[in-house]
Amino acid sequence: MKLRSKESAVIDRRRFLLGAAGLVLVPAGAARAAQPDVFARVGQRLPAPDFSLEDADRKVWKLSALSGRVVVVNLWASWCPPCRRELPSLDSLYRATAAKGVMVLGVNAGEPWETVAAFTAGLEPALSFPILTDEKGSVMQSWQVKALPATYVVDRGGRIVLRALGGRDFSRADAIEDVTQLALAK
Amino acid sequence: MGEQRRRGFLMAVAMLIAAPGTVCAQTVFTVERDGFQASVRTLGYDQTASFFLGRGLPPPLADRYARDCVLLVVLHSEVAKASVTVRLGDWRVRAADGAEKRIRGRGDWLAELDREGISRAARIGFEMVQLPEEIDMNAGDSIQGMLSIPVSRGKSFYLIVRWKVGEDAHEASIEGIRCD
Repeated sequence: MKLRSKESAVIDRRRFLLGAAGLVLVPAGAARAAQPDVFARVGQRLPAPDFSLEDADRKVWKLSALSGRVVVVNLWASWCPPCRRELPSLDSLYRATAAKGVMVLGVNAGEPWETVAAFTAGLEPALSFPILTDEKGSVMQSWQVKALPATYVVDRGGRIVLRALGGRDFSRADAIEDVTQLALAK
Repeated sequence: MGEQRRRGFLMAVAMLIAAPGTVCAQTVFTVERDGFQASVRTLGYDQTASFFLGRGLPPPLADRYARDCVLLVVLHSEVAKASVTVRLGDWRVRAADGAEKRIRGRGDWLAELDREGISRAARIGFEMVQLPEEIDMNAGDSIQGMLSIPVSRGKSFYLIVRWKVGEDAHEASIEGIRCD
């Protein structure tokens, strides 16, 4: 394949076979050392748009009712591979920070509850943070989410201060530390 | 960009390919420069059409979308010095005859869905799998989505990928993409 570019670039053409997917595993620890932080600081700290959504037990979760706590909001869908991969690490983040008052909310975007329930029921171990359904996509709209997964951290004052677009490993130490520091901030 | 990280990115693409809901692996093209990576993979007609049929899109619309070339695009930034901005309106497709065409973006398709009176649930499902028309990426961010290319299956084309790092414009062209 020829490269036609104004600057030098590398174009790789790879033919992947399904079975080859597992043959290129990179040691997680080795790759992690050079990776950027899980969360990026948001430049303009705007108030998080409020929402009111139900979980599996039909309990209503209203974001503004969690004012004074740090809330991690993760938008996901069951058809989205990176969303599925990162959910267990989000659970690790929740378990590591819940005692400090951090809440994690998983907001499913646009799928019927039956689909969400079938997917979450198959997760092992089960998720310990609430999964909410946003079948009408209202949060996607009000938060102006353009792609999934998208994760935002709302500080104790209700402002969005951190974000991560695309799949992440939220069990990483820097992610836990960032969220913990926000929870401990005066 | 280090070999280790490049392999990690390729692994992510491979996992995406191998994930349930996507089908068998095909050709992957990767552009990589100074911390920005764009990977595209061609999607077959059947896997594209069945994906949307399964999410409530009417058969004629699913057929219309899948008939032309469809790419699965993964963008990834590890650029620390500035945010990376990608606008699909800046991307171009160059067919074998040299004619340049713009990408048919999410907004174009959503307008068509609205004209057809598609259900809100199907519309959301459709919208979220399309590559966003404009996105700002921080270091560590990844964006993925489908891209509809106005080139018939079986015909080769160039994809001209453009992005900005801060105010600095970059461009690369991928040659020889063809959907079968």
